[in-house]
Amino acid sequence: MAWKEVPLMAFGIPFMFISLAVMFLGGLSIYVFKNKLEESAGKVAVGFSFIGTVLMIPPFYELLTAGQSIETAIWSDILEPFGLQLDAVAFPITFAVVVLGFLSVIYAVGYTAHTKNKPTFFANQLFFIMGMIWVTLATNMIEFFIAWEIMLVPSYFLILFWGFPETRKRTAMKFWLYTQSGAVCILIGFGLLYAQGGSFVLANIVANGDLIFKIIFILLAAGFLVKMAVFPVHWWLPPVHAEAPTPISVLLSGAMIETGAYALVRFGTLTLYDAAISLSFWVAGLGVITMFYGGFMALAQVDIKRLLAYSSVSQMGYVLFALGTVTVMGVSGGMFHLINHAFSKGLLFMTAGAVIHQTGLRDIKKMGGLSNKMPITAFAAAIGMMSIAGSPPLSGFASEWMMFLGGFNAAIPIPGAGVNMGFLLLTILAVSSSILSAAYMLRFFWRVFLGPHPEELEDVKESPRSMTVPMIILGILIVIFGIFPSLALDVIVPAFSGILFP
Amino acid sequence: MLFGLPEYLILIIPLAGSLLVPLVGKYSAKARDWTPALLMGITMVLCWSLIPDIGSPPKTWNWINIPGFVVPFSILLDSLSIIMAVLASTLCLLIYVYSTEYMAHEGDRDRFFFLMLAFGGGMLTLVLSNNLLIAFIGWEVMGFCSYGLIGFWNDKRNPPEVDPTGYDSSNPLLQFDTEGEYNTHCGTKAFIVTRIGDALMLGGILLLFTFTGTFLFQETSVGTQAVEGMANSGGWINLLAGVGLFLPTLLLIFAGAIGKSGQFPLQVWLPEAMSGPTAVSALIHAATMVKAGVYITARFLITIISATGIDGHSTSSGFIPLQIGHPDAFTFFAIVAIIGALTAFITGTMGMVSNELKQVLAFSTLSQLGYMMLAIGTAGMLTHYDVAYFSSVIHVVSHGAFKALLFLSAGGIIHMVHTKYMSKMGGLGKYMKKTLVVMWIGVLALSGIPPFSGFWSKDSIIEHVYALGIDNPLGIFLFILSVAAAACTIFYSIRLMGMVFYGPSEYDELEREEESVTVHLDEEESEEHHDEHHEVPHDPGPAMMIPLYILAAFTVIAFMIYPIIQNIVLETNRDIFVIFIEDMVAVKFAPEGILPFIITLGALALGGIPAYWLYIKNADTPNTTVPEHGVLRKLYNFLKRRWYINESYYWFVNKFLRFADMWRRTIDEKIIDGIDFKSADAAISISTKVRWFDDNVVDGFAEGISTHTVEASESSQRSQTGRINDYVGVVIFGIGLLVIIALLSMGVI
Repeated sequence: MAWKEVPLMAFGIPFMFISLAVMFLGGLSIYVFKNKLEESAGKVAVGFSFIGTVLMIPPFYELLTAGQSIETAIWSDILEPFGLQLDAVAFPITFAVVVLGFLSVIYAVGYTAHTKNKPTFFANQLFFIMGMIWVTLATNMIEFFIAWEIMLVPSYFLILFWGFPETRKRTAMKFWLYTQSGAVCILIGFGLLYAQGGSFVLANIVANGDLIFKIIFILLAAGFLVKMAVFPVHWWLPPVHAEAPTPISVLLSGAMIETGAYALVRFGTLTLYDAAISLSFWVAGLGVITMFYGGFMALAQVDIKRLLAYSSVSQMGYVLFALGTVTVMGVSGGMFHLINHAFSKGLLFMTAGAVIHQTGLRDIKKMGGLSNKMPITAFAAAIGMMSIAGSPPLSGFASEWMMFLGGFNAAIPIPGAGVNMGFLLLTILAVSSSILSAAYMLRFFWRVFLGPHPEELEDVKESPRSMTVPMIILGILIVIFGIFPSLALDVIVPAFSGILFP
Repeated sequence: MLFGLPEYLILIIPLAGSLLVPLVGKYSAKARDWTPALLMGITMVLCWSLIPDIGSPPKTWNWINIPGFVVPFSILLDSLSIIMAVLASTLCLLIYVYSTEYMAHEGDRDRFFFLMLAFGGGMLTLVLSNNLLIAFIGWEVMGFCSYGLIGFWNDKRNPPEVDPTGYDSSNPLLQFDTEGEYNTHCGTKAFIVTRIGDALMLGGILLLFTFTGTFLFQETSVGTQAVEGMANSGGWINLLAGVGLFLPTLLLIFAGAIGKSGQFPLQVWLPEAMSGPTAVSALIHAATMVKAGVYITARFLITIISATGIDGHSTSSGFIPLQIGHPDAFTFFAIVAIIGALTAFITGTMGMVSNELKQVLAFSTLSQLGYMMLAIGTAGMLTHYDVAYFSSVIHVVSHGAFKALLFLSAGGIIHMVHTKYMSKMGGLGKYMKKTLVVMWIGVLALSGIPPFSGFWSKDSIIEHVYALGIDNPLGIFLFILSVAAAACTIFYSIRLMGMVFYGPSEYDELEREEESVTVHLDEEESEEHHDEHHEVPHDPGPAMMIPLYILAAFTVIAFMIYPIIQNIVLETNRDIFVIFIEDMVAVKFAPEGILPFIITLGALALGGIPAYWLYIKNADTPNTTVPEHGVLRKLYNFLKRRWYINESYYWFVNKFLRFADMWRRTIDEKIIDGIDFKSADAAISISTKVRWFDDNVVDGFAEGISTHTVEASESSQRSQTGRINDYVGVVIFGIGLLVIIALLSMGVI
C-alpha cells in the first residue's frame, strides 16, 4: 500500500520524514555508487548528514513554539497510522542523536582517512543514525520495532567489518545475540500490549496496574535494559564499544544505549505508568548497583575505550536511578542527562579515538604525557572528564544534581510526613558513587595525558582538523549547557511535571 | 555601591576573564601574565566598594526559571561574605602580581594564569553567592583549578628529589620514576580526597533543599519558613529534626568542609598539595580553597542561629555557656569543635618533624584551620556566639595575610636554592636579609606572639574555649588540645627559621671559592659556574618583594584594623580605641581571661625555648639530636609517618585497586570471554539440537500424521466420498479458519 499522507504539521512539509529519507537515500546512494565515490565518500556523507540535520531544525522550532511536532502517514490500515512525533519527552534524546550523529560523521572523515571500503562504512553510519533518530520519533509499536531493528543491523555490520581482526566476528555475533534477545522480549511485550491495550499507536493504548501490564512492563524493560547495558546484562557492552570503530563507538555509547533509557521513559511513564510505578524502587536499586559496578570496573581497565565503555555503564546506572525515582526532578534530570552524557561521552570517545589514531596504542599503561603533544585533545578530554565526573559548571553537574534531588524527593515525598529510608539510602549511595566517577576519570586522564611522555611518543602530533573541530564544538556545548541548563530544562521540566503530576 | 554596576560582575570578571588569558597570550606574553592581576585588581576594587552596602537587600536574578522550578541567584551582602570577598580578592591580587615574576621563566603560562584566575573567581562565587547550589559550583570550580595547578608541572622528567631524612615507603602507589608523575599524583590525590567531602556535601545540600524548598541562605535563615505544599510547617529545622535528619544533614554538609579545609580525617591531601608552584600553594592556603570549608561552616553557624531565633548578641561580657537553638545543633557544633581541635593538635605535631619547607607551612595551615573550626564550633555552643564567631573570622583574616607572607617568602627561597628540603638549606640569613625580616614577622604572627596579628586572633579563640570549659567538661578537653597545638606551632615555626636561615651555609664556601675563582681563573669558566645555578642566593625582585612588604605591614599593624572589623561583624559602632583597650587588651587581664592567657604564654615558652635552643642558638651543630633508638626515636618516626593516617589510606586504596584489577581479570573478563565463546558455542549446539528436533520430531510428526491420515482415509474410504483430495482441502480450510479465528480472538481479548 502506498504512502498516504495524512494532514500534516504547521509548515505543511514533513520535515522529519524528509530528513530521515535524506539520510536513508543518502546512505543508499553512497553504497550504490561506491565504486565512483571511494575516497570522497566521507565528504558526501557529511553533506547528506548536514542536510538531514538542517531539516530537523523546523521540527525543533515547532517543538519550542507549539509544544510538539507530529507527522503521520498510513502504511497499512491494519497496523494503524505510523507517525513521527517530536514532543518534549523525545526532545532530549532526539537532540542528542541529531547533533552527535552529525558530528560523528565529520569526525569519521578524519578517522577513516586510511581505512578501506569507506563508502560501505559511511553508508552504514548514515543508516545507523537514521535508525536512531527514527526510534526516538516513532509513535507506533510496529514502527518502533522496525526502527529498533534498523538501528541494530548497520551497527552489527560496522563492528563485523571494522572491529579487531581476530575477534570482530565473535564480538559482532555477541552484540547481535544480546540485543536481539532483548528485542524478542520487546516483541513479545508488544504483542501482549496490543492484545491488552487495544492499539498499536502508543497514545491510544489503555493500560492499568493489572498483573498482565506488570508482566508487559517487565518484558519491555528487559529489552530496553539490555540496550542500556544495565548490570546483569551489561557484559556485551565493553567489548563492543571497545572494538567498534571510534565514530561508531561515539554513537553507540553516546546515543544508542540512551535510546533504551528513552524507551523506558516513553513506555514507563506514559504508556504503562501504573505498572511501572509499582516497580520503581527496584529500577532505582538496579541503577545504583549498575553505577557502582560500572565505576568499579572502569577503575580497573587498561584498554582506553573499554574504560570509557564501563563508564557508560555507570552513567546509565545514574539515568536508571533517576527514572526509578519517578519524580519530576529525577526524571527530568535523567532525561537532561541523556543530552549531557551523549555530549560528554561522545567527546571522550572522540578524544580516545584521536589518541588511538595518533599513537596506535590502546593500553593506557603505555601512554602518558600526551597533553603536550595533543593540547586540543587534552583540553577537550579534560572538559569531558570533568563533565562525567559531575563537576560544575559543566553540563554533567547540571543534570546530576537534579537526579539526586529527585532521589531525595522520592525518599521524602512530603517533608515532615515520614521518610522512605530505603530510598534515602539509595540516594546517599548514588551521590557517593560520584566519588568513584571522579576516581576513574582522573585515572584515565592521568594515564593518558599527564606525566612525562614515554620516548616512543616523542613524534605524536595533534589529530587532523576534522577530528578536532567536532571535539571543540562538543566542548563548547558542554560548557553552555552547564552554565545555562534552562535551555533544555525549559522544555523538559514542564513536560514531566505535566505527565507525573497532572 | 559598586558604582552602579550589577553585583554579579564580581564573579563574571574573573571567571569569564580567565578564558581571555590564553587569547591574550597569543599576542603578548607579558600582557598575558599581567591580565589576571589587572582583572583581579578591578574585582578587588569592586569588592572593597561593597563594604558600605553591608546589610542591604540584594537584587535577584534567576538562574533557572521554569514555572514550578525556579533557582534564583543573588549576591549575599552580609559582613561575613564581604569580609571573605575582600580578603580573597586582595590576596589573590598580591599573589598574581607575585606570580608574574615567579613564573616568568616557566613554560605553558597560558594554562597557569587561566587556572589561577579561575581559582579566584571560584572563591568569590562561593563566598558571595546567596544560593547554596551556586556556591557549590564555585566550590567545585576551585576543586578543578587546584587539581590543575597542584599538578601543574606534570611533565618534569627528572627523578623526584629525595628527602634526606625521609623514609622509604613500600607502597607501590608511592613509587615514582619522575617528578612529573609525583606532581600528577599530588593533584589527583587532592581532587579525589576533596571530592569525597564534596559528594557528601552535595547530598547534604539537596537533602536540606528537600525540606527548606530554597537554596537561598537568606530564606533558609528564616527558621519558620513554610515549605511550599505544607500547611503547618513550624519551620524546616523542626521538620528535619522530626524525622531525625537534622544532624545527618548538617554532618553531610560539614563533610564538604572537612574535605576542603583539610580537617581530620581528610587532612591528608594538603601536605602533598605543595608540589605545585609556590604561588599556587599561597593561593590555596591563604586566599582560597582551604578557607572555603571554614567559610561554609561559619555560614551555617549564622544561618542556624538565625533560624532558631536565638538572639546571640550579648552586650554583657559574662561567659555563660548555654546551648543555642536545637539540641541537635548543639551536638553538631560540638562535633565541629572536636574535629577542629583534633586537627589543630594532630597536624601541629606532624609539623614538628617535617623536613620539607613548604610542608611545614602546610601542616601549620592545617593546624590553624583547626583553630578556626574550633572557634566556630565553640561559638555554636556559647550563648554569646558572636564574639567567638568573630574571633574565627579574624583568624581567617590574619591567617590569610601571614600565611600568604610565609608562602611567598618560602617561594623566593626555593626559587633561589633549588631544593625544597630544609636540611639542605641553612645559613641563608646572610644572603636574603629582606626575606629573613619578613619571614620572621610571619613566623611570629603564626606562633601567636604579641603584638603580631596571629596573637590577637588565636589567643581570643583559646579564651573562648576556656570559657566553654568553665561549665562543660568538653571545653576542658578542647582547651588542652588547643594549648598543646599552640606549643607545637611555636616549636616548628622557630625550627623552620633556624634550619633555613641560621647555621653554616654551603654558600659560604662557594662565595669564598667564587672570589678566588674570579681572581685566578679566566672569565669563561666563571660564566660556566653561573650556568650551573651555583650563584649566591639573593633577595628576589620587586614584583615578588612588594607583595611581601604589604603583607608584612598588615601583619604588624593588624591590631589597629581588627577593631574596625569587629565593628563591621558585630554590627556595633563603638570607638575603635575603646574596642582595642577593652576587648583586646583588658580582657586578657580580666579575672576570667588571665588564667588562659598565662597558660598560653607558658605553652609558648614550652615550645619556643627548646626550639630556639636547638635550632638557633646551637644552629652550627648538627640539627638532629634524636637518638637512634628509644622512645624519642619512636615518637619521631610516628610523627614523621604522619600518625600512619596517610599510609593507611594508601594501603587501603592500593588494596582496593588491586581488588578491582583482580576482579577484572578473574571474573569480569572471564564472563565476557565466556560469553564470547560460550554464547557462540551455545548457539551452535542449540541450532544442532533444533535441527535434530526439526529432522526427527517435526518431520517425524508430520510424516506420522500424514501416514496415519492416509491410513485413516483409506480405512474410512468406503463410508466417505472416497476422494483424498477433498479431505486435504477440508483440512487446509479448517486450519486456515482456526488461524483466522485465533487471530480475531487475540484482537478481541
